[in-house]
Amino acid sequence: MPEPSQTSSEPSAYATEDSWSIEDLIDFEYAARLEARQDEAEIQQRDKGVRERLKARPTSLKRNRVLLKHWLQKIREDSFPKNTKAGSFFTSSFSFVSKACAFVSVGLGAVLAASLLRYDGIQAVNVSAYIGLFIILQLALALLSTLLVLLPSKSGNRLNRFLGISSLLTIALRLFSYLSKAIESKLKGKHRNALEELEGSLESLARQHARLMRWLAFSAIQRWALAFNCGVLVATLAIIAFSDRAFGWQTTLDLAPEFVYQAIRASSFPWSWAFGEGTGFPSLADIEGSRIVLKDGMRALRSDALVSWWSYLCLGVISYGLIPRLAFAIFGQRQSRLVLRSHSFDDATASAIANRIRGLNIGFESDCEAKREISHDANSQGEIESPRSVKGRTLCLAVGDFKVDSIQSRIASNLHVPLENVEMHRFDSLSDLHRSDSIEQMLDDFRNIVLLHPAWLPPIEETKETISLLRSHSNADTLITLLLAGMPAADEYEIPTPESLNAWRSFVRKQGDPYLAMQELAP
Amino acid sequence: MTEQSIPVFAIVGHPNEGKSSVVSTLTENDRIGISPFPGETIRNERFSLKIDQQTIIQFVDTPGFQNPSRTLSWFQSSGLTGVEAVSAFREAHASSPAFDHDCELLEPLSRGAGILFVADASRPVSQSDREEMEILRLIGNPRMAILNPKSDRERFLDDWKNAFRQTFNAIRSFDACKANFENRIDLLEALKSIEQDWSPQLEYAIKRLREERERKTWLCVDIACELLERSLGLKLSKLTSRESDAKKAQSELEMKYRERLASIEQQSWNRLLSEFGHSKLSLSAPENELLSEDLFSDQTWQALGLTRKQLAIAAAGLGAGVGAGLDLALGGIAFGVFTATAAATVAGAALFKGKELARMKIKRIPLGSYKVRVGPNRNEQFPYILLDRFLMFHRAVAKRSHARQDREARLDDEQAKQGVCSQWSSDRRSLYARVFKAMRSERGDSLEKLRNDFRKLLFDSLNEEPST
Repeated sequence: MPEPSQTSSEPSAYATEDSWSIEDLIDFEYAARLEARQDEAEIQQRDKGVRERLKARPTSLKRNRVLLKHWLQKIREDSFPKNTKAGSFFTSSFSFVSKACAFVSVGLGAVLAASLLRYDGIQAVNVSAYIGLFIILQLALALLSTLLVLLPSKSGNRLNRFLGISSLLTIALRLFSYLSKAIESKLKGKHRNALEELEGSLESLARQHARLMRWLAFSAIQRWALAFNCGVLVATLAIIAFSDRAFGWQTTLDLAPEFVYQAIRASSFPWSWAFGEGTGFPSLADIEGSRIVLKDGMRALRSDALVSWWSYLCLGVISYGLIPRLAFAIFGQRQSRLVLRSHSFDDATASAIANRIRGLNIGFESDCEAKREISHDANSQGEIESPRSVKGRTLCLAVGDFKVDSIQSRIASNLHVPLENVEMHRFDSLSDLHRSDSIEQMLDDFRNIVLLHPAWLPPIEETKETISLLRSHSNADTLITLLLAGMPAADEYEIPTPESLNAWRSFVRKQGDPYLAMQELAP
Repeated sequence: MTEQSIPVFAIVGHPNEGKSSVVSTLTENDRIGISPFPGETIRNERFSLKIDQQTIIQFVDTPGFQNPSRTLSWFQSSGLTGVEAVSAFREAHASSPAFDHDCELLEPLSRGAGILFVADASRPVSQSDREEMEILRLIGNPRMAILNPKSDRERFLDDWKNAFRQTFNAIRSFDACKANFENRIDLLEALKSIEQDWSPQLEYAIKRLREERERKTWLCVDIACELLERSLGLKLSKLTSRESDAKKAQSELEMKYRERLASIEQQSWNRLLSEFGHSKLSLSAPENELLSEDLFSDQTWQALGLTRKQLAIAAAGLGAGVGAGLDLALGGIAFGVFTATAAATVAGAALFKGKELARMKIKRIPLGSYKVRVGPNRNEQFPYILLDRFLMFHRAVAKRSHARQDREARLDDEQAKQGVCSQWSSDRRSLYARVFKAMRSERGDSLEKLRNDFRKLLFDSLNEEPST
């Protein structure tokens, strides 16, 4: 998503408003869920506070990410002292685990290096194992990581899946789903619902923030690998500096020293311009002189050739271990920041909060007042950017005995879209909708899809199938809104009961679709 | 009755229509999982209506339809009907998790179970409902529609009835949360009409249910008798060495006495709850009214037991009986003076000394110690209040539907004002007064003479509906 340019009038303030950290994001998700359990009056009061705060900066109302940052700030001031700060809890826990893993990695690298450099004075240290583990393997991993970064995103995703990096999350979710299904028959309905809602929420979070999580995991792994290489290097240098080591190589194969020399020379390419033959890597004579033949013993080897390998080993670890890991760690960090910066906050939860603060959602008196205030500010400061639902045309699919003509204007006003932008189609049942030949065609043309459904009929498997159908024919980030109507009464529709709305709310949570919203059809 | 001949009914319908509530009420089982949230039932559960460990009817609580449109499409396109279609459908969709609930709910129908289609009549008829009804029509098992309104809204009732008429053999209104014993019997009676073959078994079930109800009422009579006897005959005593300790012990004993009375009453209530299968219900009455200090406030006297006037008359009747005996012994030469005097004395005592709960005495006994004694109960009004509360409690428990989910209930002031003792005829009050006197007296033989009449009277009282 392209980043909008900063406004010239208040660049520094805008930059702060616009920046989101992982801590902020977690706090936001936490606060949004917390708000679902809060009192309506409390929510309205807070929204009013946010609007007051933004009165001086009406441009901040334009974009969801800025508006929601203010909302988060307000909710932090109001409620968080009383509650756990989810974001800081996560970041401090993650930082602690990350540091602990880095510490362990340093130790592991040092121990591994020390064990591979063990020397008893009878036989020279065979460098093959050290080269295989710390240079060739690391080179292979660095190449793979480069491929991951450089390949186009689609192939990169495939490779990611193959390597299991992004699928770790999927595996975790599937495991959770499997376990919850195994125990759900033993649970009471209330607990089963809670479990399914939790599963849905996790899936929704994973779908929404999968990229961020991936880069976060990527950079953390790179940092641990960096620490591992530091451990290897420090241990190698310390052993070389403070003890006597004789390095050699051996093979049973009929391998000419020239071949080994060529391979070593080629692998020294990254540093050979600075440290040449004899300094940065062993010469052919050194390689010939350090070939271990067990029957001949140590005395058959050349003493000067036995020490010629250490610089090659250290530079190999630096070039194929340290430097690539450092680069990848920096890259991963940068990618995480980029993902955070490009997060659009246009999912159902974020859009609902933003629209509510703008006063565009429900016809509360205070909201109407706010709407007037906002319109006034907009007129004096330039037009407010429309919320997402106002953009483009809206397709409304009504399932049930709805009188399309009379309800259309009400739907338009509920969704804050011009009447002419709403296209309505009515179906007797969900199966009629499924059977409709034109549904695929219809869905292609619209960015906003609304499914008008009676709130008093609880959601069933066929409802879930319908949502899946709509999603399969639309983009992953197309907002699908379940518009729920109360019971018909004369020419009107009643307000849906809280019990029926709770059932639908639970259904939406269980779907794990961040772009699935629910709204009641208000009078 | 063999297991094969036991009628089995599957309770089916859209999710959250009150299927489990209907089963809970019909089987008098308050342990069935009921939730205001859809999807509580995910597996078929069989509940038997048992009498003396013998199953007389079986009800199967099923999950709601999840795919009515697709299921109906399959039935229509398959060209199959009846049990054959159900089996084929279940086989075709056995491996599809999306049809898990549909396959499950159709299982009893594939075995020929009768259908009780439950619908919430307080909402409109939807296309899904029509599809579900059509599926059941294609299956063809004997079926009845049950209108179980979740609210008082009636404007959709005719729509439902019209929709049902095309598909079902019978239609009944049955509010699972308000239905009492007679409503249940009515429903079972109606089930006879949907399948003639089941008529004898249902007839037998209804007969056994009525017998069981009568047995329970007699058991309640016994519980009430025991409550009254134990409460009226309760005596507590304590020995102390000094007179000052005796005064202190007196107040402690009085408190203990009140606690014991409350405990006796609670025990009888718990037995009632257990007999009527309300295992999870905690039903309480306004506690302090019975045994608190202001028990005999004017307000309490007006609400429960007899009125002051009725109490005086009942007591006068008893006194007159004693006085008349003396008059007769004197051959009538006293011209009924004893009768009149005794009646007036006892009536006066009932009116003015009635506020004491029990007789309290400190008695000096040989060897220099003191005996403190509380009881037996001497308050004239007390047994009437106790009985009134028992009758109220019984009525609330016996009428209460097992589908109700409020686990804690209280006999509120409104119910408390429905005391029945004050509405009795004077003959009945007189018999009760004699029984209470006999219960208080130490002579068991006088009570035995009255016991049968008293039990019959109590049985009638337990079966009576309150006059409002």
